[in-house]
Amino acid sequence: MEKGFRIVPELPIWQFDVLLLILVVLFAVVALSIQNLMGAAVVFGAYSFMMCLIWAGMGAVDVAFTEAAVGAGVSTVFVVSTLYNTGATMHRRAGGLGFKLFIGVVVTVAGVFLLSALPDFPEWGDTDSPVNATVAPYYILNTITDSHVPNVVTSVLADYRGFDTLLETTVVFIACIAIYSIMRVDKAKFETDEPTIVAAPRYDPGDSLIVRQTSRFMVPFMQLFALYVIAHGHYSPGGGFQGGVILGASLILLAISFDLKFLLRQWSEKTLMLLVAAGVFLYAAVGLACMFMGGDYLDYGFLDPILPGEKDMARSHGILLVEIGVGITVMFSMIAIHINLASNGRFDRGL
Amino acid sequence: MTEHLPIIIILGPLLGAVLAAFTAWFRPKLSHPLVFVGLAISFAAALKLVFIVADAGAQKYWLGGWGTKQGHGVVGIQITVDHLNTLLLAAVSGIALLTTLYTKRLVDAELARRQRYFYALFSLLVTGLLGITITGDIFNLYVFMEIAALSSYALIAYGRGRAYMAAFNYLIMGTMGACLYLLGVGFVFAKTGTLNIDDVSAIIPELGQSQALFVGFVLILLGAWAKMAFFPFHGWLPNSYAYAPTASTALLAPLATKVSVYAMLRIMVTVYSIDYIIHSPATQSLVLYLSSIAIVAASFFSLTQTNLKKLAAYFVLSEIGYMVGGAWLANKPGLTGAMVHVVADAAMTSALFMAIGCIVYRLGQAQLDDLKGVFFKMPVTMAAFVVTMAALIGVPPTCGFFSKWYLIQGAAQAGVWHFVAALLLSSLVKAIILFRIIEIGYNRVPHPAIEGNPAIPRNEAPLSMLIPTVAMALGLIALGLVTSTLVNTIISKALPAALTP
Repeated sequence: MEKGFRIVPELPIWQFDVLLLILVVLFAVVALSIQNLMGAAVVFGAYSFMMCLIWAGMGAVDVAFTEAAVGAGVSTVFVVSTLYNTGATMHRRAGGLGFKLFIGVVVTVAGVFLLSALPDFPEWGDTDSPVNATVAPYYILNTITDSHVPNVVTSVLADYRGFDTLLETTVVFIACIAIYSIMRVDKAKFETDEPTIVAAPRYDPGDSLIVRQTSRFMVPFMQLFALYVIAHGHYSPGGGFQGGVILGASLILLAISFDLKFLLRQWSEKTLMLLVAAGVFLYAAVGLACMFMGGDYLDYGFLDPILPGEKDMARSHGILLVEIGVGITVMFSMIAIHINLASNGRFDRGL
Repeated sequence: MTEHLPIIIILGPLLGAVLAAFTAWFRPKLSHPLVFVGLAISFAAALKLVFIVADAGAQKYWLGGWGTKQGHGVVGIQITVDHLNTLLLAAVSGIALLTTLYTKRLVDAELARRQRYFYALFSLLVTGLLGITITGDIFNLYVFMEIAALSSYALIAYGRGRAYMAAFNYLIMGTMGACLYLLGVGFVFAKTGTLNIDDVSAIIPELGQSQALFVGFVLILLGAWAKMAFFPFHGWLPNSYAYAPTASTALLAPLATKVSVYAMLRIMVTVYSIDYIIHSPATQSLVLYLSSIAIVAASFFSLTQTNLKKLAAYFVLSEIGYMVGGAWLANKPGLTGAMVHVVADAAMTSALFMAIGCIVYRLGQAQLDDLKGVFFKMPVTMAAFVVTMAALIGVPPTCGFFSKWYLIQGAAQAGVWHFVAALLLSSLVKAIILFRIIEIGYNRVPHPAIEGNPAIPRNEAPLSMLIPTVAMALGLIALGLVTSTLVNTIISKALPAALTP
């Protein structure tokens, strides 16, 4: 290509990537073989961070961001809050030699089968590969004129393939109400089921001044950053999912460092669960509004009479609206899931 | 307005579910009617589309207005209603609508105070299933698959006790299936650069022999098989359906597996062409053997069951063998049979589980030994049950006869005699089970008409359950009567043109 712009068809710093790959495999093996589940959870979080670095090295910064926020961050917290109620020791049930051989054969055959497709794939970064020659060039060439969004990932996610994102938000919503439906138990029933007197723990981790004050100091910054991530997703990596997860994580941090009651005093069960549904509703309603204004479902361009700016800016603002919807659902789903797991569905006390 | 009909099919249950999630906190009684209205809108749209498609051919709708761009193909997400899926869309939304009516009393009885999000999840499951059926985009199909799967795990786990473990097994198996499917989609995307089904199917023949595409094909199929509980991935299904609340099973059993079979048909017929199967006879005969084994094994296991719900779950497994086998015969009658059977079996399984639900509602359980005198207690329910069993066995004029006839014809044409034998054996086993139930329900109690025997009091299920059950059973006969019309006007046009007649 002209003007000194050259596409390099190999990994930028291959030594670095090889090191990361080795570490990923190492962490995966350690996470599987470690006996203490709390340890496994932490190692698994580290594994996610390595994956995050690999995505970033490949130039998929949005994916890396999501991996860091969801994979390494909040899902580790969920595992920990589950272990709080189940205990961290595991009883391994080892299969016999025959079983192990069977698994070995299945895994080997599957691996060989998957690898057999490798020579058929296009080169890494090949400009003529089908992926870089079919729909992707359209996105790169037209995202500015279509929707005034420089970050192609955001315009693909929220506009060109906005329907997928509506449904992914619905998936988060379903995950939240499914966990709620499965775990939530009546307080009255719980009080008859279990003894009320619980021996006081020898060391109360909730009673640490340093932890409390540090998190109290950090939470506003986290929330400000999260709002920036949602609002600035048009221009830089980020968007509703990542921002929502960070917002949720900031409140989960408060819940862990203070007490679950501290969080529940501010956010009642009803408010949380209504807000979870509100985000999906906002997204779906923006789509419906487009339909009533005469366009296809989710065609934000038809919102230009009610949104400021021309058609392309209307698309940009439409994207912002749905990203806010995503952010609301994701944030409150994360909090509600955490409360359910940490309090074993009782919504009173817990991690 | 007609141009928006395809998306209305999805929006009805989706918005119904979200609104039901709101009202669950203010007026819990409103959740059920809201979901019902959403599904009714969806059914009306689907029914209208059947006529539109029969008249005018495939209808396409581009989300966000992102259609075909010169030189790039479709840049957005397309949903398509064509000859292959229009009947299934109407069947899924229609059955879901009837089931919503039917489950009201069951849910009140079985779940009582725990039902806050039941109808929201119910409606979301239908959204997912309709979405898998309607979508014209292989990644969008995966997202809908997740919606359907997550809500069905929750609906099964509502059963508590052993249902938790059953739902967990299903979760592991379902997640593996979804992963395999997604990996396969990744392989296809790497080779074609697009996710739109029409574009992919146009590009694949140009690429010729490609190992990556073949691996992708196998991965997608394995994913679909895990989802539909095809042998040998069937382990999760019987327990899930037996321990789930009857209301959940009444929706899951008829629809969830059938929609996965449809997804397989869509991949086989539209995304990859049917030549793909004809050109690999080794894989084809392997799958046909697996189908026969699935049918035979499920039939034998159904003979050993003492619980009516579990017995019916094994019927579901054997019917899956019918459809996979029929599709892989890869000739005209076989594929027609598979396509007819997807719709027919959805209706039959729905009627079967509705009748079982009525029995469970009155008797409290469904062990075969508890059925003594049930024909005198619940004559209308049992009449519907017998009609349904007749359809499953394949007695004319029910819909089960016609689809089975096409399947046997296809197998005979392809010379796959073990599949013919498996189909006949499965009918035989179902007949044995029907007569066993008649024997228990009719003959193991003294007949009330004989002098001196006490009359057995009639105790039918409530009308809100009985009417959908009878309607569904009558629907089986009606569906049988219109089968040839449907095949001539719609299904025959969904068959790939390349097939030998």
